[in-house]
Amino acid sequence: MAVTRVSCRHAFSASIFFAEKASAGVATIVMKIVMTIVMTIVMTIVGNIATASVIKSVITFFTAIALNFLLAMSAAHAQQEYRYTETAGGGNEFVLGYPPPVPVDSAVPIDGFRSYNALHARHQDLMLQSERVGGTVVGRTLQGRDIWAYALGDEDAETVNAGPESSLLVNGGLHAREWGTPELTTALIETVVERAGDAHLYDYLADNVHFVVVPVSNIDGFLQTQRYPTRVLVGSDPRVPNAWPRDGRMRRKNMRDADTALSTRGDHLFGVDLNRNSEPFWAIGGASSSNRNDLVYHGSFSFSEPETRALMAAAEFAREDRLRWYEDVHSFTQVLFSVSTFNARRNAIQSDLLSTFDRFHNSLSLQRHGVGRRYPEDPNRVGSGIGVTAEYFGYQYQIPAWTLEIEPRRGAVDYGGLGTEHDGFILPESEVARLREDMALTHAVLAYRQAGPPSVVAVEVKSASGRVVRSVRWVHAGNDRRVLESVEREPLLPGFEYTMSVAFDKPMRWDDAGEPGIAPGHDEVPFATGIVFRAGNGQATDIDLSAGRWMGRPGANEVFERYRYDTFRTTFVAPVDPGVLETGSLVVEIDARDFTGQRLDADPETVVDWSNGGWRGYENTNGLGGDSGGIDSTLALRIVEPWEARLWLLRRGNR
Amino acid sequence: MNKFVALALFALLISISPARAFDLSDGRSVAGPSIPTSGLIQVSGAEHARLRHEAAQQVRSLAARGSDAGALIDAIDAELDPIAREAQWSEWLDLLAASSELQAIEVAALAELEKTLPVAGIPHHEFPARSVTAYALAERASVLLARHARKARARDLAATPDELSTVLDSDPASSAFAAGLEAMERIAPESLARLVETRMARKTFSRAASTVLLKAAEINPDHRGLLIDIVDRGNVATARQALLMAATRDVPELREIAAVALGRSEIGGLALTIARQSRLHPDDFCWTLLGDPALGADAARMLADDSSRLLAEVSLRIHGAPELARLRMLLALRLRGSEASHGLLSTLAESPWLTEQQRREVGSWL
Repeated sequence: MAVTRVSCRHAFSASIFFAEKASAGVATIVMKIVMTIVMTIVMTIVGNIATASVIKSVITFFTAIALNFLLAMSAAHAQQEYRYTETAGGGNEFVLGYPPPVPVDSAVPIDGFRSYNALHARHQDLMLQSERVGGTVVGRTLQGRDIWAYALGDEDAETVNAGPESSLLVNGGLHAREWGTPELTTALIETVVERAGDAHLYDYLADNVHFVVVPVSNIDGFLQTQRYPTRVLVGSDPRVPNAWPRDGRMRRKNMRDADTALSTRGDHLFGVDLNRNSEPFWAIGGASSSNRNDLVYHGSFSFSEPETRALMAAAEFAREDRLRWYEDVHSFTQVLFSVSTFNARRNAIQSDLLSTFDRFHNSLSLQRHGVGRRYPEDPNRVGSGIGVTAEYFGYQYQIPAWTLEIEPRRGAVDYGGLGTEHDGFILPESEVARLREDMALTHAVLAYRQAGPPSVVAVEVKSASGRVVRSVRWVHAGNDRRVLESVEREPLLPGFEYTMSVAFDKPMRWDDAGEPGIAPGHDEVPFATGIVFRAGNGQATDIDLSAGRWMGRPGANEVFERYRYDTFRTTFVAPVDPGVLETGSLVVEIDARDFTGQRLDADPETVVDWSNGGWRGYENTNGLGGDSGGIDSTLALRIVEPWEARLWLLRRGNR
Repeated sequence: MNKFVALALFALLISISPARAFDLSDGRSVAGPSIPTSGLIQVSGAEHARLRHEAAQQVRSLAARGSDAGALIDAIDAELDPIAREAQWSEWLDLLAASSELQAIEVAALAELEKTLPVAGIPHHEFPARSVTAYALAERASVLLARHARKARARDLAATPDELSTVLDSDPASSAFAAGLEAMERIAPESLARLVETRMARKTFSRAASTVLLKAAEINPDHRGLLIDIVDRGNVATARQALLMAATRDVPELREIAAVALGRSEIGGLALTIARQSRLHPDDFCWTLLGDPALGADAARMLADDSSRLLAEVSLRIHGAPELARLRMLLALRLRGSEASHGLLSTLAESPWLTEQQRREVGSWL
């Protein structure tokens, strides 16, 4: 009989459990009481009549199923359909105060949301048209739809300077109702194609970054929300109130065990939360649930869902050994939820990167629209997690990884909406184009930063007559090393004027309407390159950089290395101070930052790469590796004393 | 039987407990700085649910009992628990949002509410260890006050036609313009006709003019004929709205409007959808659009969905078509996804006019 009691208790607990899940309002509290009593009676009878434990188990199992069915039916009766409307019209409605968006079959971007089919056609069209977009299927959804990933950039795996090309992965549409995210990810692809040939940021990214985008991973769920753009079922959930929208427009999870009809109400809470399905924190802590009705149901095992497994395949497609950041795009609340691992270097680099995100996007928005939009970083506690995809990438690859929650911050009240239920998930159509355009640029800037710190590629010194007197260039020598190729035609002659061009491996200044400028939100970055000549005795000669400029203004016929504003050119007069001249040599100290404030790799000889959550080969001023960089002093110029200068002039034919 | 009673009582206890055993907000393991919500009183998801439920019952029962606006406001104001009071204000704001006009006492209460700071913080929907403000009362009050001011301004403008006309030429993003649009709903048909007439006489439609004409078409069915002009000459966003209105209201000139829309490729794929809705068959208008940079992908998608002679037409046209149109034909075959289209795609994948990159991408479809 002891066994019987245990079985009864388990079945009884199950009945309570299911009753809880089915609960909705006062009416269902009554229902719960009735069902609890009925179930207890049933199980008591079962316990008394069953004699063999196997039979008892079977009976208990089927009884629980039957009860579950009954309770699901009762829950279905408790559910109601609501509509999102612009204005109050009576009935079950959530009044938004703006027109509820409806997806439009338009491949090209519009002021609003596009249907999934149109987005997919857009992706495929761009893939076929542009050499900068390549695609592959990385998985199939539960309902058998192909999940595509697109790689943006050139085909090789090296930077233009033969370094290792960085890669990144951005995922969108993991949660079905967050319609802004597929628009954002699609804009990343569109902008790379539209801006091709800019000889600046986008060409740099195409040459040096392997930018992989999964525009929509939960396609089945996304289509379900687009099938019912204004309709929701209000259902119960253990942690939320009665009037809580779930299926239809507000579906969050994938479609496991759920059909597409809203009329089938027994299944509308089903599905797996794809952002609770990942290692290493799968099913740990209280932020996910083992109950499939729950909004945050974590699935039956980690990576149980094809949509989350597709992300692992996408990582392979992104050349996983080259991954340098991962982002999962969600909505809303306008914040960056970052993953903190036990790697302090990785965490610090991540914070710097997300500071760039926040500052750049806020200032860009302020400049373009008169309204700043902050995206503060909100890191989790080291060693903790809830099963989100960003945790997997942060820990598995030791790369910066975060969940981006796009705008609005508080809800549609940010745009003049009335603040109704869940309206933060329903971005007004009038905001979509702006979000797309601004976010695409912000992500390009992030990719630019994490592509790696800048380094000097070449330096050229010319006499006033335009004759090259000294040129040096770092050339790849294999095995992650470069060598300095140097040509000297004559030394510096004291008191003579020269021009010096310093070329870097990335565009160093922002393109501000055709002029080199400071990137939005990065006012601390000095405009000019710092150049100091230091003699062997330590004496420094500052160069007057007031005439210095970044080369590459459109139409100005300025010579640059590869990208506009990757080359700084200035004039200088060779020092005449005897104390400087007697050493015969001047070390050129170059201090520069890229437009996000990242300092130079002080020693270009070692190629910078990403390794174990930090930079490798990124030296500071003292030649020590780390993550902060410093002053490049790898180049020395020979300078002669006046008497020897006269000989050089004679050699030139000048008297 | 004692066992039965004990179990039943135990079950009852659990089933009606507000703090449920599997409440996600309890016992969380993740911590971190919250989104700027310092000073908020943290409320669990279950507690938030209970508060909202109780607030809804209380406020709506008072309202249903016919309590006047002042009594309702006083009752909420008298609530001692700040968290419960905030929940009740939130319910009250929902009531106000659904009502068309506000009373003076409600306006005064909203003005007070606009100054209040949030009290309750609730778990973030994605990361429950993080907190967000529960109700955004001040912001919602601001929105309702702005709506109230707009309605009042609209009433005034409706009585002053000249001023209304001026306002309707102002910045369409301004609150004055929004009030002007609302005022259009209140003016006599003759006045509306005059507004329309003056704008139709202009050579080009500004965004403001397009919006005014669209509003006129929305208000008065007699002005539905304007839709074709808006689609033709209005700014892109308004032209799209005009197209949608034409489709949803099934205007008789839908086919003509669609034809005009197809001539403005910046309108995007909606033009094709409306054309199909006007009973034009995709085979009749999509083939010529395949080479259009903006509309070609939509044309390909539509042909893939609906063309009755996709394969035959592609075979016939593809070798003589411009490059972009060719690629869209391949796209149409890919999107059709049938065995036959797959077969033709396999054949065309070897075409000499494909670049290496295009051949590779087409190969990824096979």
